Amino acid sequence: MSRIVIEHLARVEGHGGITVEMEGDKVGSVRFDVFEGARLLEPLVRGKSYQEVAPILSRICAICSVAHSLTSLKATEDAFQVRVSPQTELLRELLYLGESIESHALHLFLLAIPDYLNYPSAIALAADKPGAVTLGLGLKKLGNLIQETIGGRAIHPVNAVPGGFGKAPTVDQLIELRSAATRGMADSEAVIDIMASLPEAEFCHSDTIYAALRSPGLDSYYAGDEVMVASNGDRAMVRAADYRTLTNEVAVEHSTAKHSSFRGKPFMVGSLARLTVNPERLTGRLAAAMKRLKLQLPADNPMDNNTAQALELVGDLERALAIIEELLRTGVKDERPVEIHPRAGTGTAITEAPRGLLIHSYTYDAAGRITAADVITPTALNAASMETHFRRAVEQCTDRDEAVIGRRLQMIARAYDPCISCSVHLVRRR
Amino acid sequence: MDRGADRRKLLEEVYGETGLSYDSAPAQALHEIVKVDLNITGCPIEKEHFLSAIANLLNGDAPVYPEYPVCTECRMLENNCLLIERGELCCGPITAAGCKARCPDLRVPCVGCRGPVGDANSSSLLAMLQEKGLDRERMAARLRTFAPEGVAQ
Repeated sequence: MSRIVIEHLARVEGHGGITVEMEGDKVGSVRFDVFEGARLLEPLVRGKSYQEVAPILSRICAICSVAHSLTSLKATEDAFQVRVSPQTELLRELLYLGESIESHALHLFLLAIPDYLNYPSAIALAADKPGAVTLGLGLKKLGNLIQETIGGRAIHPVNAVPGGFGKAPTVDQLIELRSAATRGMADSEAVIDIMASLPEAEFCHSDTIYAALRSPGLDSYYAGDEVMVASNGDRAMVRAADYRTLTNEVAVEHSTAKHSSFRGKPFMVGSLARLTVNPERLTGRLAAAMKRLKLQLPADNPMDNNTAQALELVGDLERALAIIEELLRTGVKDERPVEIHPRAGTGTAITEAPRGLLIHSYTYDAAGRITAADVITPTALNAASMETHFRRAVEQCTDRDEAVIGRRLQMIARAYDPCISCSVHLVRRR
Repeated sequence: MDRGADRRKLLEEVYGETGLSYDSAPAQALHEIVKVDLNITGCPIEKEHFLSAIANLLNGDAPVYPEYPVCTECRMLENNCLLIERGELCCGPITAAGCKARCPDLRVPCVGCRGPVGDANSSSLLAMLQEKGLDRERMAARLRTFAPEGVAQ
């Protein structure tokens, strides 16, 4: 028996590795090892008042702090049956788009692309080919600017509060944002050009089940309440409140991220899942770009998640600009957050974080204090699916050279854009 | 969170029996593990503070950060006081400035993410909040979210 061990996955968020046990030519066990310490955030929010929950749980992750904040607010508002204003919905969507632009730009150009071009890091890549890296950094900066303007800070937004926003952006701020977003739009062709120039990554083919928020007509990361699970021709819908029928989490010994499966099978979340579940989004420029990047849906190659992120990045830029223009056209009102009246009960929210489905579910007492909480992150949802794809990649690799297999496994891991520190399970409802 | 809490119990609560196989230690401050020469406060730190720290250190100087509370910056921006005028639980008076009163400037109460200011008068703040009818236990919990243990007990 031999082993292929990747002790530390570089260029991902957090600490994890991969272990593959070979029994002769056959693949034995395949593990995505997560060594992050258990973070046990439930005791941290238990007993906390509803106003304190989002700022605390946003600290789960600095990359997707907007996703955690807004999902937290949505869950709290669900528990208290609060309806926010249309302006709040628009601003939250824009804030979410800012994070998605930042996260996708960072992942594609600084973490994923060096693999395709055989560079050990974005810094090494920048020395020879600065174009991709400066493009990525420029778009990341735009994402940060959107988060600063709408959320009040680039990391851990402070302006989004239960019921709405502390303060809406001013017209001057929105005009500045429009200029920056217009410049960003001009870069979107370059995003597709760079993706189209990459060598193919055809080393893992597998039937894959995809799960994403189904939001027909909404085209939103934030809105929506129903998840569609799509496998070859089969469709199943799961409502937010029934999320546990989707996740079916189990704890495993080699990972502090729990594993999920739907009807006994692993599923994949993220950009590729979103496009698979909501193909009607792929119109106009996106349809043309999809054709150019030779993406076919449903895809059977997890590496296509990188392609899907690039398409989303272009779509995000379009949507962000459209929302800014709509806000400027309709005028931004100086609204106060909707008044909150806490009540005992449970609220659940599902949104689409940059890496896929994010679930927050809380139970409150009548005074608005948390009695139980559950947070399930996209990387935890993806953990079992990653292991399946690692296995397929090893099985389909005719070259038994460890370096070749190792490189492929790392490329698949990075295509998932894992956030391992997030995946470490925090909380569980009792 | 209480660092003295039974880790095995917490692990079992979150992960079930499998959790008992994980190693887990209570969270500790960096200075409890290694010697810290310079601390840039904030969760997250301000970008300008990071850049000025680098610039200062390159020039052989020790960076200097504000030693006054968020309220000072908030008042300079001529904001209405969330605490006095609206009775909201704002941690500005005991939190280190340097963020240009980021939250209260957006009419959002300070949560204290920059940690306590050097000579934080938390007992006076607690007394004032109590006068306004805000529950002491809740206030202490709020003040402890970002502050080390020992503050606002």
